Amino acid sequence: MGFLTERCTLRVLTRDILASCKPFVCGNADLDDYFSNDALLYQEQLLGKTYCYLLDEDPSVIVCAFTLSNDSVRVDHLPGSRKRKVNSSIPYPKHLRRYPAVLIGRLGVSVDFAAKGVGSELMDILKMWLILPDNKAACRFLAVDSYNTVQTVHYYRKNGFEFLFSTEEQEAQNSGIELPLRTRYMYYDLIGVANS
Amino acid sequence: MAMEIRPIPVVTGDDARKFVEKAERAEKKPHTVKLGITRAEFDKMMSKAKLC
Repeated sequence: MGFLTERCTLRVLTRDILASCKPFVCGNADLDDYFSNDALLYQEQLLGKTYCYLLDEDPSVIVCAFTLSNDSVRVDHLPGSRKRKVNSSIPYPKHLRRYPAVLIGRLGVSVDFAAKGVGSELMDILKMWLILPDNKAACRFLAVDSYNTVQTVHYYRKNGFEFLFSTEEQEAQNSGIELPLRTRYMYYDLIGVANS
Repeated sequence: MAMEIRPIPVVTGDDARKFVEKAERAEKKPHTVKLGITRAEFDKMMSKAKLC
């Protein structure tokens, strides 16, 4: 049994929880700002749902928190053989493939529980949660817009994620933003978990 | 104000080709992944969770 499954309770983040809990500090100013001020705004507009794990022995302690939203990986690609058959007059959107995905908008672990395996345990919980038969909608990929730092990218790579774009230049171009990138899109194919 | 949560951009070009090939390969040659949590542990955790 892991720390989260054994010693914590999963909750939807609410104003009451934020008000009754000690400040949730992840050691990253953007993350701390997001969970304190923005997470509930996303939730109210149905743009992102935030969950947290509270410590059972002291429910005023948030161990970790994360925001999920539905998204998709849209891929503008047709295999060569099929491309040749497709009339170029077909509208652009029909060249797109869409793979259903869940986007991790934010994920943070309290500094008090860092480097104890909580982050990897949480990732395994998310992977299982999304492939279970009672999940209401199919989800092929777990995606994240990861902070572009060595530590954060290492965490996602360690948990099986890959970069969606091969280079930062390509990602900047497709995202319509300028270099240097503060975040990188990464993804995890859930089909292997579903087969297990 | 924290950075906004951005939707995933469209993948194009060589990255798109590689992504589709990898996805199709995974569908044709199923592999398995062992998670650090069992279904029983997950169910027990969810029965304790308060998600409303």
